[in-house]
Amino acid sequence: MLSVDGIDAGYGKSQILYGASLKVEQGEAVGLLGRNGAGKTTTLRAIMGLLPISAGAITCHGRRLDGLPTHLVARQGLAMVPEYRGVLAQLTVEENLQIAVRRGTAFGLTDAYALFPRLRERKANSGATLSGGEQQMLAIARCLLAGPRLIILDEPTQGLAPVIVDEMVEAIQGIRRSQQATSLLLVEQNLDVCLALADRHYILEEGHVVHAASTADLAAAPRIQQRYLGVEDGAARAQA
Amino acid sequence: MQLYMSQLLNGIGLGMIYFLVAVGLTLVFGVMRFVNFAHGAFYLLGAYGTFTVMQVTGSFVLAVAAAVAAVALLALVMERAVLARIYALAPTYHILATFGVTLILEEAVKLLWSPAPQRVATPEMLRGLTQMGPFAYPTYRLTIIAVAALCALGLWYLLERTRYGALVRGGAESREVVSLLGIDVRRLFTVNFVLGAALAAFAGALVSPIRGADPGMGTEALAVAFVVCVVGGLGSFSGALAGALAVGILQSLATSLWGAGAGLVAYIAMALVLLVRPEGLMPRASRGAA
Ligand SMILES: Nc1ncnc2c1ncn2[C@@H]1O[C@H](COP(=O)(O)OP(=O)(O)OP(=O)(O)O)[C@@H](O)[C@H]1O
Ligand SMILES: [Mg+2]
Repeated sequence: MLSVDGIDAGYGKSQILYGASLKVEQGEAVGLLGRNGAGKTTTLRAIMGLLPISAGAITCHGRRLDGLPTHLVARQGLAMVPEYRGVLAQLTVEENLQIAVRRGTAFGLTDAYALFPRLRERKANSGATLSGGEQQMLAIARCLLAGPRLIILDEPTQGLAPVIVDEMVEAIQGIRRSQQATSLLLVEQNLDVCLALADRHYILEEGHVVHAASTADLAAAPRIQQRYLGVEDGAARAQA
Repeated sequence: MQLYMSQLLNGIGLGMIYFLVAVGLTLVFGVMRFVNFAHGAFYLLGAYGTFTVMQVTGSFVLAVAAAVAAVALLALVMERAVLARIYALAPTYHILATFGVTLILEEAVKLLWSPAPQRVATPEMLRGLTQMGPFAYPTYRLTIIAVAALCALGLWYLLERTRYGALVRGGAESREVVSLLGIDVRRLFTVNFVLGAALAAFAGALVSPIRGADPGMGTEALAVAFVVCVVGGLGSFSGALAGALAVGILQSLATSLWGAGAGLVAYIAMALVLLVRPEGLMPRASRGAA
């Protein structure tokens, strides 16, 4: 459904992406891995129209997305939770959800609360008072309210305590089970999380894809992990 | 006592008018970080529109409604035709362009009407005094206070209790986040801009039977609205209300104590607030917690 073909993008004069390409099929979960500064966030921002591309093309179900303003990209069925999560501090938890509600989608406010009961408890609180985990829950629930065809998550477990990371992984797995037609594009630094959630993976380095592998292949390739992700070998990881 | 009571009510009435003007400025600044120097012109045209329609039809209510609608339409055209082209530019261009629009509109007013002030008759039903116990106060001025207070209440409801209001507040905090949710922030801003313009026009219309209409009234109101925004905290709804009432009451009380300096009082108050609380009395950040 989503196809990114050889895009270049950057900030002002500094080019960050050099011909980055990836594909996400309907219902599929795809991981995007890479070291700090590899250009993962930049790729996602380019997809959402937050950053112009200077070469290549981005299409969704055959329709060109590049050049569209962000809100129209979103209306094509792409929902992104940004790296900074984007919980609005001036709004209550419930208002944060309400502004995302769209008529004619199957997933409503009650579903959001059922998915993360913690949000219901805090619905009258200001967005500014949420913990990191709660912010991520709110951001994910909010992006589901639009009834997206593709969910894009930028490091959903970044900065969360290990217990919360597990909770988050389970929640995302739950969403995958209940919305099987919805695709997922996931950026993660945490390889284990990425392996647990995605079917296929791309590794990005210096602005382009240097490796693509299925979950089984990547899990069984400590060399690749070490070379591109700076992960120590499997034995060392198990000990740590 | 009677004098102070009446000056206090005058101050509240004046403050409510200032509020209606300032709140539009604040709304527009909040979402787009855009300072609109043409905002005073909407107030000006609200008063002149009322004057003319009242002359033709004799109905004050019709005149106010027509003036507000015409100004809203003008604001819509101006936002689409002029402002949409300059948002991306530096604030200097915003000031230049909107100040240019003000000059054009002010000169147009002088040409279409006349440079001399015009009188607007107080609607028949609202003439005379209302007796409140031992104390009598002009009925029309009381009406202004009531109508403006209703307006403020409605606005509060709109901004704090509706989805549109949540979008306005959310958009003011992060345009990016709101656009990621599929919302056209540009359209949100157009609506906001037109709403702000309509409120300023409404203020000009309401005030016209009291002070008449003259070509300089827009610039005058804009200056006070800026003071109000600075005192209250730019971008804050409750700040605009508190700031407007404070400035209105201070100005009005000062008139009876020190007539010559009344105009200065607002600026002195602003300087004091800037010295003691540079972020304003009720800055935006405190609203989420309230
Ligand atoms: N707004 C910006 N202006 C200029 N340079 C930027 C900006 N944002 C990111 N960069 C640079 O672009 C490069 C890629 O950044 P990007 O955020 O895409 O990396 P990333 O792969 O998401 O890394 P991380 O894992 O740290 O989130 C980095 O060198 C970064 O310094
Ligand atoms: Mg990143």
